[in-house]
Amino acid sequence: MTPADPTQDGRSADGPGAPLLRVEDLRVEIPSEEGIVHAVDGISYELARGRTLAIVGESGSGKTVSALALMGLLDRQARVAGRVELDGAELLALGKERMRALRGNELAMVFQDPLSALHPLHRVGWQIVEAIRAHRDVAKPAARARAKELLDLVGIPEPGRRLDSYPHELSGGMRQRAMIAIALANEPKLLIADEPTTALDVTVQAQVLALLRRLQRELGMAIVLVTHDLGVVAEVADDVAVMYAGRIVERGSAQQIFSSPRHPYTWGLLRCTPRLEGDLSELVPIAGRPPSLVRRPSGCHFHPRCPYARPEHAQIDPALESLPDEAGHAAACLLDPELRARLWESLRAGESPEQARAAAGFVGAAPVSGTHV
Amino acid sequence: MTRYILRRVLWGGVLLFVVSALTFVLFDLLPSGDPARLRAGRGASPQAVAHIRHELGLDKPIYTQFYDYVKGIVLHFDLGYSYFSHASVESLIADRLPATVSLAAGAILIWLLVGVSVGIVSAVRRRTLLDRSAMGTALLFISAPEYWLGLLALFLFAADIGKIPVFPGAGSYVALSADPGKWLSSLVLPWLVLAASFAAIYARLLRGSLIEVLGEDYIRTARAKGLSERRVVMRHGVRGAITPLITVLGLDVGTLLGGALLIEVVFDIPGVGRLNYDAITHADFPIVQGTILLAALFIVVANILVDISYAYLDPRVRLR
Repeated sequence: MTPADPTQDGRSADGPGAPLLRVEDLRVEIPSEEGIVHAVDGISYELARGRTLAIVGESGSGKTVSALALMGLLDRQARVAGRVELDGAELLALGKERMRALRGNELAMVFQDPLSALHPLHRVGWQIVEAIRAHRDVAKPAARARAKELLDLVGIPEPGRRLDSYPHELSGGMRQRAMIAIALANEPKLLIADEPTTALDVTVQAQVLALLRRLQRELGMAIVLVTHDLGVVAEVADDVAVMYAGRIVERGSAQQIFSSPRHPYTWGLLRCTPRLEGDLSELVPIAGRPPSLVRRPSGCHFHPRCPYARPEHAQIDPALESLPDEAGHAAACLLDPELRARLWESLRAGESPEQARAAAGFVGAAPVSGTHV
Repeated sequence: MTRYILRRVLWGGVLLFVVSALTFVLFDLLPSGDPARLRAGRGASPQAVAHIRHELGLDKPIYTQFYDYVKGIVLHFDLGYSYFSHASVESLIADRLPATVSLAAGAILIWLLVGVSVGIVSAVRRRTLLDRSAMGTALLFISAPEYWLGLLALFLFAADIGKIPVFPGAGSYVALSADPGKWLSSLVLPWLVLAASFAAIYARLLRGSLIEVLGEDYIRTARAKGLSERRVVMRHGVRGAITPLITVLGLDVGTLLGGALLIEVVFDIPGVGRLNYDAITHADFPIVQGTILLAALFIVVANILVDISYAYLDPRVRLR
């Protein structure tokens, strides 16, 4: 790739203040034997250069699929709609070859399990050199020298020797560092990290997160971090999007999400995350299971599992609405914002949802059982 | 690694010993005809038969015969002499080996080229019409007995009896050193017939293995790097899928070098398989014993080579 000319590649001449990544009404439908899986159901977000957005949710909430959609790595039969603008270029409208030229170059991805994501039969150096030469016309020795620099950059000791190692000869943390080196080979503007620490030991997790933070500072790239782990989010995220059943149900700065969450699902996630000062008995799992994305619950998709749902919530589908006095904070919930604020205060004090309901003067029937559309 | 190879070679020797012992016992137990009587001819006097029996050493107890045989191999690489032509078994096999090697080498080349390319295309285009017709044809070739395919090929294409006479028929084999052109044309049909079922098996094997590998996480990584689809399939996919194919190839090569008996008989190619076949029909025991031992040797060697090649194909394998 030649240096980006903002007038080419269908890029708009946005000013420097424009976000690097703009996702608008992204939808992914995947045909399956049971029917169409609505894996991602109209999500929108923006991300500025040098910032980190964490996409949080349970397995099956559509967060990984949404990340793969940005990379253009979904299976052929997946139907993707909406807009994904990276630095002004509309990714979903690009042809296969144009998208391939951006992949691993302008945007790159780090996967969950580095042991299975690295090729077991090729040396680490070979795999990095290949990533460099996929987009840059450099001779092999120069690419190899660059690969060594990259291994050094991601904190692998004796990088010259490690070039000739096979993935199985490295520890889990080293493997993920090598994976990150591959992703950084062409200094992408956007790094998508899908559960980058989930397969690692806890101590190694902290090191890899620190590495990502350092690299972001040094290289100025934006990061989309897909995770189910709120501990990881607290560590690195500037902004947070909470996903449930293929949608963003709450969005805000990390500060807003942790100190004043405004969606019952986010409360559930926070209440099942262990804390050092907390008592383990306070860990409360969210009742029920994530819904099927083929036959989703009617109305608010969370109502079958929500302790505060009212009968009418099975009919009305809430939109993601900005909260009155918090810039950038939005939630998709049918309950009155004042009431939600009171409920969270009680929950934060360690009360159960039942106690919180009583304390907040909650009126309405007990949780409704789910109906499906 | 060296220790590993040494141990394998030693075990190979043990195996060959067991194989020759078994053939000895089998020949003694089975009613294969009395070589002395066969050699003496119809209506020979009992004295003449007894004389021949003594001459061939067949009047000694079986364990003495076996001891002499093994001693001959170990000390002088002496496989004995044909009961009929009195030629040494080593020289007979050496005469026949070039034809067998010619047959095997050409067939292997053809089936690898065809099998591997069909396997790759079928895996990449899986569940398309192309894939289904390729796999259907493959099933046909796997199911068809090779002697039947051979006869069919002769019936259709042989110069003497064929409907479309384009290739020389059975019995036209000429040594490479004698006439390379005739060598080539005489082997085209046998190569194709021999390669057909192997190509089909290899195509199906590689297709399955490649489809599995193409679903691996590391293939997604390769795509995430922005590599061309061709490179993703060849350098990442096929590289990961080729190991089972190499295993089978090693064993098939070993087996074929021992003589492709049916093809050699159908096309009347003077190879080791044909030698063995004729020896069996004449109860020419030293030749049978020699060719079986040779076949077993090739299989043992091929097995060891396959195991060693594993260490190079997959760095995770460490030979102990």
